[in-house]
Amino acid sequence: MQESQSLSVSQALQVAKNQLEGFTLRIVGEVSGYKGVGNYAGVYFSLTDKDSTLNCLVWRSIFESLDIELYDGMLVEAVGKFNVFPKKGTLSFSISHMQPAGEGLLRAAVAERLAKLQREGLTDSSLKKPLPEFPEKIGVVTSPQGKVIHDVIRTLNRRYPVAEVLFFGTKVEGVDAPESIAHALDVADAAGCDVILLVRGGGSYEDLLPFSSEEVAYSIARAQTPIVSGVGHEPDVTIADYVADVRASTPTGAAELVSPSSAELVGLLNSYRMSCARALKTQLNQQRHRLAVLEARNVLSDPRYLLSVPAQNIDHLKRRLDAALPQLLVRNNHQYSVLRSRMVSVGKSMLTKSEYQVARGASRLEDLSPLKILTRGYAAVFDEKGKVISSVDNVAIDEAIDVKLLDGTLKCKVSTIEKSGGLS
Amino acid sequence: MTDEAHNSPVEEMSFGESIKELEGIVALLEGGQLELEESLARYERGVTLIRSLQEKLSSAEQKVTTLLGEIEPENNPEAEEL
Repeated sequence: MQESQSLSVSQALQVAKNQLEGFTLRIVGEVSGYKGVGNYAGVYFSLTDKDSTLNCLVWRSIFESLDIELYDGMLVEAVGKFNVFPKKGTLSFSISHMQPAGEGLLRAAVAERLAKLQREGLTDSSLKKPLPEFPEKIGVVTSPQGKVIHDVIRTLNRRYPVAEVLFFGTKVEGVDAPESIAHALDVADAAGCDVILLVRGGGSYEDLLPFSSEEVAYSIARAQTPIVSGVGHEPDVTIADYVADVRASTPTGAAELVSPSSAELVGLLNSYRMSCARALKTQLNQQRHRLAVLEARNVLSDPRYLLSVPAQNIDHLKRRLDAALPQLLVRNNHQYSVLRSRMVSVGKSMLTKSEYQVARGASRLEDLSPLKILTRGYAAVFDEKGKVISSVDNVAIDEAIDVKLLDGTLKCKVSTIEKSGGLS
Repeated sequence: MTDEAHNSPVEEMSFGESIKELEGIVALLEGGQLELEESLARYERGVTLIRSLQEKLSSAEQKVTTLLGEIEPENNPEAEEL
């Protein structure tokens, strides 16, 4: 082929096609624009890096045999050849084999993400919340499948059955795992847990990737509840471990971190019991000693000693009183006699007045007395019960009645009853 | 007992509250500054707290509440190691 020779567009592209399509290449890039398998014969997406984009195609039959779940942002290693389409003058990469990119590359991507989140302050130690000493509600965010949740519950039950375990199930693998974990964390945070365990069993570096996602990191950072991470096994470290308030190396380790040990607590309670008893005993002994010291003192051992001082005081007071009394009498004597004569005259005049009032009252009383009426020849009639009879209707023939006169009583028996028209 | 908090029924208190109060009582008794009657009252309260705490610790079964998803039984071979 000579430079001077002019080619048609088709010829030129044919040259490109011939030059490019012969090589098999291995490319590492980030998946973008993946829209699912769809109904086409090919599966289309792009591979990108910082500066470039390459359109890619996997034939559907090949794609289905790969057993790979693609998602945007996923780093993959693709083996294939270029395809040049002369009709449009475009280039694409036809993939014959594809797998998640090597761990080194993944680690580099995670490290880059961590650096970014650290710059944003998500891992600042000032944000780390202290763990509660005696949690009442322990939230566990993990997969509902597998042995991890059972291990965690067993550990908590053994160490601290006092607390309630709240379980928040989440996907821990796959494309939507980051979102699912973040959601479960948000729900756990809102559920009023005292502490949350974010745990997952061991797996490959890639298996643990959802725990290094931004979604999970932000969810941990915005939670108000302290979060303990326990993802994988030592020495696996995910971004979640950096953002969490405390990092445990395993799920069981996380459970142990948030639960005081029952056995230790029983020991503690016993030591408290002994401390209390000892303190009380000490105090009782002190009081007993004080009592013994007091008992030994003269005051208590000899009653006369106790009385001698008060007795002297009384004597002294008595002397003072004896001396003071006559003086007081003389001073008050005159005042007393004046008051006395005033009292006597007041008393007399009060008496006179009262006597008159009493006499008047008595004569009025006498006027009203029924006895006074009897002196004028009237009689009062009583039945056997001593009740006054004021009507013939209240008496029966042969009934015994008392007729009371001024100077005595007539015991009578009713022989006849004559009813008159009434007096008034 | 002057502090009202020290009169709340132990069964209504959380484990943490109970143990905090107990620690306070131990410190007070060891301080030896209380009147004998007060010491006896605190001692009695302390013993009540200890008994209630021990009962809570020995109640063996933990309460597990599931708020998202359902915990699957163990030994499901497909789900090992998750």
